[in-house]
Amino acid sequence: MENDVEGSLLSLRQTLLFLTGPVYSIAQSPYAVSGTVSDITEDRQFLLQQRDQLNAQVLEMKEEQLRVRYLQAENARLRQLLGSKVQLPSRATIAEIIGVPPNPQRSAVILDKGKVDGIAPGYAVVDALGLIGQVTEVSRNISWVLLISDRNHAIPARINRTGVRMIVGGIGSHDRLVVEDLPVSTDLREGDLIETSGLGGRFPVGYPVGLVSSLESTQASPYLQAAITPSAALLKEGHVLIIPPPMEEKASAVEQSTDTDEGES
Amino acid sequence: MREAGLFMTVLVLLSLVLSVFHLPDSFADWISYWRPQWLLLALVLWVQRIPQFRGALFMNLFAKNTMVDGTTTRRVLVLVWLFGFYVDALLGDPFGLNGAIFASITFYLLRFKDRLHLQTLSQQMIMIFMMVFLGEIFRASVLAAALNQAWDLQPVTLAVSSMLLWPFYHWIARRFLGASPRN
Repeated sequence: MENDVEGSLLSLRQTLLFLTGPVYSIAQSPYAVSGTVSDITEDRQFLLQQRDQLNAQVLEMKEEQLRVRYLQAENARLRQLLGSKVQLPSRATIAEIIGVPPNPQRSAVILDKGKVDGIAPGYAVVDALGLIGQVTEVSRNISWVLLISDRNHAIPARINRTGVRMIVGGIGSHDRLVVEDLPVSTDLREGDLIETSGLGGRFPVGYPVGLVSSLESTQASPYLQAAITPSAALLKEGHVLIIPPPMEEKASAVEQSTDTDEGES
Repeated sequence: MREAGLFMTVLVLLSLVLSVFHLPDSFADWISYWRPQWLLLALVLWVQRIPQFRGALFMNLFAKNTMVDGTTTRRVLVLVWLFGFYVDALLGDPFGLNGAIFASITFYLLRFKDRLHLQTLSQQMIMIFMMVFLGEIFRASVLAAALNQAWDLQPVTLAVSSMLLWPFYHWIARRFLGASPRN
């Protein structure tokens, strides 16, 4: 009974969320218009230059990707030798930020992808530089993303250099995260890269979270006070990638492999 | 009154868009602490002018006669609460929060409409300040309890900016709807 009520409220909320789409599109339209105008008025010479630069960048990336493919295959073989499960490359969905909640206390963004694109709550969101947040609410074609800087958000993370695990929490400021409950004796230095540890099964392993910007240990506290500057630009415009949690991916991969097995037999 | 209905529809749609509009990244953070509560202002204007809306839709939904009676009050309260659900989805607030705020303010405005009608513009501004302030205090306490949001000066800043915008709303309403009717 209680589940019925909750379920119907949830579907009502999803329907209403779907209906908020036009309002956000209109609110975003000045930015879209200014983007189009600058596209039209852009200097041809500049565009050609930019194209050349991007072409060079694509070539570099392709070369890097070839190596990554090789390393991935090698990694999979080694993991099989070790008897651990093969980690699969993630299938990412590109999404555009279409809105930001007006309350400055809420660290969230709204994306233009939803259920129809296969997005579900719990999916990780990253940009080119690092982790941004996770999907919390999904309707047909809109999803809300809680940013890592929100006071309610925490990430299972580890130090890239030493592998020491920790929890990184948001404090509501978009250029500062904090490490929670790390003993004073931990080997942590300024400039250390903090990345996702993959524990908890929500965020894929190895995505950059941020760099340690300041360290402080006081006599009063047995814990280290460390501040982290997020790697990702937690901006209000632009494009991001949505990545399914590793657990779900494995499940779908298992389904796929059983499908192919059946096909072979 | 067809024009009044059109005016109000445009005002509500504009308020919805303005309430989710965000400034470019280059603007300082503190400006967003002073955003007026567009939807609350539109709500106050609408409730004040309810006797003026005499379109077919309004007649069927609310009032059969020209008086704002108990039935009208109840229906208006239900309507603003339902509208609050939509605003909850729009702003990502817990379900029912905006509905509660809208309905409380509407109830106050309808219950004391005769007394509020005698107020001067400056008195109305103080009333707007108090309503937005109390509404935002309620919102902040719910968000602090449900979403662990920190307390800040938003109830004051939002109330001040909304209050300062009220003369403009008052003038616009006079311009498009004429003087506020008594009933």
